[in-house]
Amino acid sequence: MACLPFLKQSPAGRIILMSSITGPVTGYPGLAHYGASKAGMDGFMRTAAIAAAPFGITVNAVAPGSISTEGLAGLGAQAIEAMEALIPLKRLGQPADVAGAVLYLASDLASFVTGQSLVVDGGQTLPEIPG
Amino acid sequence: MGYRIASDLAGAGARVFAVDLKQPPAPDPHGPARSVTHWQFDVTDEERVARALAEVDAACGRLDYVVNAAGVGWFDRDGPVATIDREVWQRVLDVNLTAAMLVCRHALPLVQRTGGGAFVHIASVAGLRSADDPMDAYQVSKAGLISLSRALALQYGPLGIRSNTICPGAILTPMIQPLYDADPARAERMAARTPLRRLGTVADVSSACQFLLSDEASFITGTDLVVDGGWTLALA
Repeated sequence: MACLPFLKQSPAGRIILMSSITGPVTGYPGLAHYGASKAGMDGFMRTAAIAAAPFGITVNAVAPGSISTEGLAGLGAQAIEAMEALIPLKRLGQPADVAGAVLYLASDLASFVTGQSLVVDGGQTLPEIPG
Repeated sequence: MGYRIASDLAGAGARVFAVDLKQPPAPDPHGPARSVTHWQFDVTDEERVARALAEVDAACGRLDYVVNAAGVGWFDRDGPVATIDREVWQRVLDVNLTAAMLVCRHALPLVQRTGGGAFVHIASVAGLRSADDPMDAYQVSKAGLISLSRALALQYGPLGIRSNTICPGAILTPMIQPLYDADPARAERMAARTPLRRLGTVADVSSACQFLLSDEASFITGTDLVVDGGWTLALA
């Protein structure tokens, strides 16, 4: 809400939300609050996209999977290996991977993309049966 | 759409081989030279597809990117399952889905040998939702293509091969131009129903394709990038 007046003045306003696969796509024990907040954010994103569209402002989200951050590194090598095994691309994502998606959505190249959540998860949510 | 994608990829420095049933448009004499080899054959012909990939191998010894953009949308012949001609149903599935499978089947060994790569398949929002003017063969073929992409993504992810689809909404292309020629107010009506108040362009789809093939998308696989100006999220 605070940014809208400024975004309206821009020829190509962009709102990009940081979502997650946890909540919108998957469940994870202990993360009911996190999951609910992300799924809720996606719902907000879709309505905001429609409301902002008349001003040429696009509203999208990036939904990362398992990204290598300091928090994740703290879980130890074995836990990381277990996570990598579940990902078709066989590696954790890097912050640069998330940044790449954000940059695309922010650019003129994505001016016809709105209300979308771009999943950046190395294929983690693909399998019929997890694990 | 395929021409624009091929041309833009060549402009970005790629060596491009393109297939279509029709003659390619004459290259712009004032534009930059584009390294695009145009082949003219029916992509449902498996033997021709296999030969084409062998020629790519002979010419370059590698294959990094595959874009499945061939598709038909027969507004006058496609329709509801209740009345659609069996031959029309089969032909639409053959061109939009089976041909993509054949290209993947024959391209994968070379992409594997290259050490990895990326596929993009041009599907449609029709594959995610349901068309109000029924084109059942078309929407089923596009839904199938979305699933084919996921199969590739899961099986070949460990080999460093990614696969994604682009799901365009209404994009002004030669394929749908006849609809707009027959009904001049159609463009306005479609734009009015689009939150971003315009039709899509081949540039919108081409830039999405470039992004998905690029290193910026190297952790993106098995997804569907919807490029529809907000069509599929508006209720009315």
